[in-house]
Amino acid sequence: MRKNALAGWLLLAPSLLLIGGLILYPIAYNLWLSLFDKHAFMPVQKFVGLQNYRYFAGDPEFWNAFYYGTVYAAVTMVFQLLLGVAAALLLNEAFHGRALLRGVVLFPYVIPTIVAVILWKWLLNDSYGLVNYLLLAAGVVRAPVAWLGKDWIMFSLVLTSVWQFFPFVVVTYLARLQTIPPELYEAATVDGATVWRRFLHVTLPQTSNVLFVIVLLRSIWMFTKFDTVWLMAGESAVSRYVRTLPVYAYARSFTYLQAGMGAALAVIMFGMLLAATFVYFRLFREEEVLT
Amino acid sequence: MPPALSRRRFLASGVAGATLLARAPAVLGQQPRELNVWHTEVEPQTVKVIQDTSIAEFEKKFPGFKVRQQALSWGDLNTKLLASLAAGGPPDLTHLNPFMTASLHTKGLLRPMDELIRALGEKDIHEATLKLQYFDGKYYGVTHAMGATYFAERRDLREKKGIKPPETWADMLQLAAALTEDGRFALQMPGEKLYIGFVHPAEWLAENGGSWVDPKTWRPQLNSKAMLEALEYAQKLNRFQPQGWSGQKYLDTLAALANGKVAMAHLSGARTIGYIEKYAPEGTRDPEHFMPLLRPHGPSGKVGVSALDGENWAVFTQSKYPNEAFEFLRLFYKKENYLQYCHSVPIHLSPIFKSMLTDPAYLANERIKKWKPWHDVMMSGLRSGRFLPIGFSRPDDNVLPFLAELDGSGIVADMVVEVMVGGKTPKAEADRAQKRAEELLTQLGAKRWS
Amino acid sequence: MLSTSFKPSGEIFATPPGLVPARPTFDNFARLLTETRFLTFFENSALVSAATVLLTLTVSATGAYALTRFQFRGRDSVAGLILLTYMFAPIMIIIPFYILVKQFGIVNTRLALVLSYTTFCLPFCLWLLRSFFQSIPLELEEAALVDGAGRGRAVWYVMLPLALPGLIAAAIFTFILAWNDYLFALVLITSDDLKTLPVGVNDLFNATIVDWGMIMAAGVVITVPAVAFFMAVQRYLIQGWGAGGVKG
Repeated sequence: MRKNALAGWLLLAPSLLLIGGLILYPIAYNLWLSLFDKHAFMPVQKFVGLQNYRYFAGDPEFWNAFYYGTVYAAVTMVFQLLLGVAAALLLNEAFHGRALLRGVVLFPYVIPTIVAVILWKWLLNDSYGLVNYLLLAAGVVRAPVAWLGKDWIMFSLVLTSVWQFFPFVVVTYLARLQTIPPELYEAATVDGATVWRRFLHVTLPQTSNVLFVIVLLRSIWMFTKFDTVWLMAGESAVSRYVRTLPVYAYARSFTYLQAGMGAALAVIMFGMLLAATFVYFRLFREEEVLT
Repeated sequence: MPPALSRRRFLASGVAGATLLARAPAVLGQQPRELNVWHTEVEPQTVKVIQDTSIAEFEKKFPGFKVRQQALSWGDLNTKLLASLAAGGPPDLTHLNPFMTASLHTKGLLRPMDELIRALGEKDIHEATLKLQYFDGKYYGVTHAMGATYFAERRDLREKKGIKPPETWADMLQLAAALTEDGRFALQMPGEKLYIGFVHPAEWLAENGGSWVDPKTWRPQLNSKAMLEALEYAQKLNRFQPQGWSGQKYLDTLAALANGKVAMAHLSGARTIGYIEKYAPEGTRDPEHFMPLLRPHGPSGKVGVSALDGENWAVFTQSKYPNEAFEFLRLFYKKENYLQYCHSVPIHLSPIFKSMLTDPAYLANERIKKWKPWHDVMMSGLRSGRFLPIGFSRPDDNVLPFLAELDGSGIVADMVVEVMVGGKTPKAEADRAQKRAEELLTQLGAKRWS
Repeated sequence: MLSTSFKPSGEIFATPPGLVPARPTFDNFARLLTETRFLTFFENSALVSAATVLLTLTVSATGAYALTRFQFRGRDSVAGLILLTYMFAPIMIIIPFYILVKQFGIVNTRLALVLSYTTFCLPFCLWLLRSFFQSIPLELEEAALVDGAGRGRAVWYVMLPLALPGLIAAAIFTFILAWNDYLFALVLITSDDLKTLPVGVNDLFNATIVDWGMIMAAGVVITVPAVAFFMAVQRYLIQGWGAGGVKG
């Protein structure tokens, strides 16, 4: 291991430059802006200190958004995990057409969000969507279900989000599965373990690292997810039933035109994630994965 | 030198070189100057017409310039406009929603365009749009085209039932009840927040003697009698819509009308004609079957009102090439060019000039000829004052500097949706909305009441 | 989606919705290519994505190499920094980002897009490649050095081939992000001929008369190349992401 610090920093420099300039600067800008009252049209602002934060502490819309945002992030993450792990376990077994199936499974992740949303809005449309047609034809329901209406929109949103991102889990988990030495399974089988026990005692411990990272990353990404939520229902009448924190932050800045308040919301989200991650690490102590 | 290092260096220098090359024209000063024009007419044929007529003529007249037109939907336009204003570099010329223009003007962001208005002919511009951006004695905008909105109905179905055009909200409810049968619903409203939460409430207020705010004190009037009656009306009307309407879009309602799923589209402009031509069953694609229907008025109002769609052009104080922007507009409104522009989406883009509205050259367009009754309804509506710009509850709402923020906050949308879709009581929701609106206006510094 | 793209207009809204078109037609595809600027969008997206992948791989590979093969203070805290950058909602970054880009004078250039996508992919790629490089024993490189190869050669011929799965994984992640981004392309690009696919397709969706047939056709054309490319390299990807998660 070369101890050449200078060369090390030089090679790292481009990365640091880009990240520092193009991500850290905007984060700092938001931190700064959150302390001001600024109308989105104007290049000037008035210092108000922590007033924006105090406002949100008592704002019912904020807590509403927090509730929806957390529910959305948690539920989608859990189902992405379950579905992804199950699919990965399946695709780990050898069978004909496995390669093709692996490619197909990745399809949702590969297409642009707008296409995914259009597709699902088309399928779930209550008047001419395929889903309602099939349900009616099979006699499961007697009247068309309003999948994109008030009662079901969160469900539809979760469905679309899980479908769109579970392949990430599949690929990441499957990769790790493939590197588990088969001898471990053989040993367990010799000891008389069933499929379930093999999973519990061999697979799980071997993949705990990867699971840790998957849960962390997906939680963070679903908590800050904007595109899918906005494109699905952001401008629809039922948007208030899926108004997550990122959507609320966007609204405050871009439609209420109160840029300082929007920035404050972004900072609050950031703080929440920091706190949650800290707790997560404490609980599971997997620092080795990141260092 | 080891090949690996040189390869890596090569890549790095390649990127650096590309960066330099991209900046080179600017450095060398040979780049043509760019006039940035943003608008909201995204139809490919309209974009093409603008390119082939106004832009072509402009670039010939001003050889050092290249015109960059950007066609964006309202939402996208908003986002980009904000980003560009924040960075101090707005486009030279853009479309704005009339209810946003005052907000920008009060912050000193817009340039007056009196000279242009005079050159276009103040007297020829239709009264419905002339004074919309007239603030403090000057003009700050000019409407690009007018598009009347109304119900679009299956006239044949209504006439078969022998029902007259509805004059009051009560009439309307009766009509809706009569038309809902055999798996078909009477009407469908657009599911977007903007329409159900701002455009239509404005119409309801206007046709029921109400207003967004008190004209003198600017105090919101969201729990006024006029609004409460409107909410009750909307709640009742909701029974005659497909249940999933709130998840569908405005354009979906037009498609639903065209293929017979509903008897009326609640919001419709002349765009509906395009849907009828494309998706309606053969043999029904004509004004005998599909006609516009003007809106009824509420119990506390006198005359029905519907929205007049028409974004206005505006030039910013910070625009880089304002003079050229005005020159572009002169060419845009030149008769030959403007005629083609309006013909690109006939009737939906109606000219703002009174002379053109009755000009045979304008009326000679195929679609206008076939669907002339639609054009006539707009003309008669204009004459009898049945139209107000989008989002206005009174003609003088053009001076309110917070309509954009009110719409954007979704306060009214939340109220309407909770009442219509959530089945909540109007009074409770209206009171909540009133409180939120007062809070918002105070935050924006627009509080004039005590 | 596939079947709708082949249906003529009249059929699309028919109830019951048929899965197989009664009168299949290539009309929607034809109109997509002739009436819209789809090909331009496609070209832009392809260029930007390819450039992003190239730049990201170069920068993250060198950075990851530095993080693993060199010893210097603050090395480990950089790893923590990586995670931090993802906790800020991208939607709120867009305006200060735009201001920055404007100050550099590269608004409305594909370069701006390439730089922004690279920046977003860097943290994850750095982490990924770092795990990879860590799992490649130092001895292999040292052996090459002992054999008289220069350091550069050692890296190129010994290390990179072993890390290839990781590089491909990083490439795919980057490609997908660049190919699919909507927000940044919307704000940073102002002229029609530089628009990328997601923005272009969204325009179709917002057009006057929503042409479902054409939109579905667009969806198919966008997806097929990506999926095909993906299926071709999926072998490497799976190896790649797997080894990255292993410790030792």
